[in-house]
Amino acid sequence: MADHRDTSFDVRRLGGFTFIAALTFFALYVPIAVLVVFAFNAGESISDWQGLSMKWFAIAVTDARVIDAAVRSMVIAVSAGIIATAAATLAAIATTRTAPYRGLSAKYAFINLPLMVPEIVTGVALLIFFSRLKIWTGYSGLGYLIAAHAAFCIPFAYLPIRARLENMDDTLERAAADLYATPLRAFRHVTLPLLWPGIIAGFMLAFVISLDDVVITEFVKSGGQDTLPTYMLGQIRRGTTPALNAISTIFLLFSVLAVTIMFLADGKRSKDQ
Amino acid sequence: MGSKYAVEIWRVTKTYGSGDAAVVAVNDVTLNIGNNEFFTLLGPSGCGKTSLLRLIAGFEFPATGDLILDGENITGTPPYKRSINTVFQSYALFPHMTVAENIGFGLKMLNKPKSEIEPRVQEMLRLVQMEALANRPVAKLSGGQQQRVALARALAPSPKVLLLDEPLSALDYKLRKEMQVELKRLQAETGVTFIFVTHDQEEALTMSDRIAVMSGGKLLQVGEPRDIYNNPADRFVASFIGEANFLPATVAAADTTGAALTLASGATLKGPIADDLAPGQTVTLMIRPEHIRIAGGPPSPGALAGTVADLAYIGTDTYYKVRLADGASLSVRRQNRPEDEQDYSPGDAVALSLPASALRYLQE
Ligand SMILES: Nc1ncnc2c1ncn2[C@@H]1O[C@H](COP(=O)(O)OP(=O)(O)OP(=O)(O)O)[C@@H](O)[C@H]1O
Ligand SMILES: [Mg+2]
Repeated sequence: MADHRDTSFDVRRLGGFTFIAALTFFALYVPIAVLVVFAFNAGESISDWQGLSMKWFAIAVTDARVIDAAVRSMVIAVSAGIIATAAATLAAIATTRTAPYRGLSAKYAFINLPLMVPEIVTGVALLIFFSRLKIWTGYSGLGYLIAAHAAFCIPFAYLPIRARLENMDDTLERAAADLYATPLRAFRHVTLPLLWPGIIAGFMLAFVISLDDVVITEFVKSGGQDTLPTYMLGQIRRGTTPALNAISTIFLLFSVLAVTIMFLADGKRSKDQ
Repeated sequence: MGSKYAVEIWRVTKTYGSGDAAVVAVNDVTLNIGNNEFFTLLGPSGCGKTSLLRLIAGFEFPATGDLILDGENITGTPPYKRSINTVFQSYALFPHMTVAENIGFGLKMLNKPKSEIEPRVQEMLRLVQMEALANRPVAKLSGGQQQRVALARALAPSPKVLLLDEPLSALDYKLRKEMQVELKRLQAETGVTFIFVTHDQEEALTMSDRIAVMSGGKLLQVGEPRDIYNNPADRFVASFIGEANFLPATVAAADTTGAALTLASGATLKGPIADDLAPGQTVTLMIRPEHIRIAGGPPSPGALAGTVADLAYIGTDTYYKVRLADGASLSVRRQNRPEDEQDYSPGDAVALSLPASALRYLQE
């Protein structure tokens, strides 16, 4: 690598760069670090250190309400993630495997619209819509939450899948057709295997987004349908114990794991091509 | 089986876009390609070679016209139902498969049993001399090796026709020459009809049984390499294949023994016999640089006087640019032989003789 210091712009030479960077990292990660540390506190406080203990983890993971909320969160995130990823995969194929036409970019915008609509608006809209549905159908199960989560997760799943499809040489699909593969078999044997890393990345992203949603869940859930984040929010209103820190720490572990899988899966792109 | 031609293309037209932006990529092309032929589509960039190939493969469909494969009309048949395989310019090997899986893909899609696929893959690996690399992922192959896998993959299902779109253009010179020989061998060994696309006229001349020269979506001339080189149909073909000199002339007299021609400078030349020459008619003469003989000193009767303007030594031959009295200049190519005592330098007066048998009348 040539040394570009003399000729090109380097943000590191701006005055105060190091200070601002350090401050930003500090503000971002120190509170999280503190949270994690106090999950291991032996005492009742989340600010006074009273020795090392795993007792809050034990309390958290044996609390029936925590387990109930965690299971519900997982069920919703996995279901909504699968639905959103399937829909996003089809949308990505439809928007990349076609000759450009008028209205195609409007479709991109339409698919990504949920990213731009404030969550509170979606929440209120769904609250009104679903409350009618609940009365008409008499059904008030998890289906509403799964549907709502799937809807706002689609654009997150769509982005990595579309990116991967766009990077994929469509001559490969033509070559498959040339070698007697029907469109369906070309998809199964060529497009899908090459698309998998994108699909996994899309799913992981959708999963994480669903897992930590509070706003829309608060509006849509029926009684007794707390997810882990809404349960925690409820607990905080009643005062906090390090049990919350313990739950958050486990939560953090999960998210980091999911995002790592996503990066590993998506990173294959550069190695394949 | 049994059809006289492998592929018949009848009045095929393909247009991209519409309205003002419409591009006629293939314009009313009619062409018959024989069984077992090494057939080349030759033409400059953008003349519609790839478009014609894509129509034959079935990736595009013609606006008008018909395509016949081995006696069967395939005009609307999708690519996966045509017994035609393609070697893509980018190779388009499946990156998630090994060499052997790539080669076996077509047979697998034809639902052949494993017991048939495996020996065929082995046979193809031998044919392209890649046995040792059967289980290598294709991403780890060199350009030349990828090229061989692409060939083996396209030949494995025994197609009736193999399409090759500039398969050699990504290779360096030496490998390119090797693969030219290799392709000829493969075509002879397999007996498959090859339709080969190139914009390299030398490659077309050395490899093909027949060549079709295209320009602007149209077919200008179809024939054997010698035919096209010796009797180009028009000025474009003459200058695209090899090098050519053009001279405007007027017919002074014409009969069954030949023609007398007058050049702009007033000099006269003997021309070959032609059917429809009439005295007073203006024609364009074409002659190849290597057919002109150059000599020192004043011209003998029937030769043209000129002055050497420039020369280029290329080892086997020397090119002379000779300016005639009327300002026209001719390119002359002379083989360098040890017994040729004399070299000409710029400024030297020389005499050029243009044998009647080497002159051609061209349509403009
Ligand atoms: N998909 C397309 N959409 C619009 N125009 C196209 C398309 N493909 C080709 N063309 C146009 O059709 C004409 C013929 O293109 P084609 O690719 O067949 O040429 P070619 O002879 O293969 O050229 P090259 O030697 O550069 O590969 C060109 O003018 C090209 O711009
Ligand atoms: Mg081309």
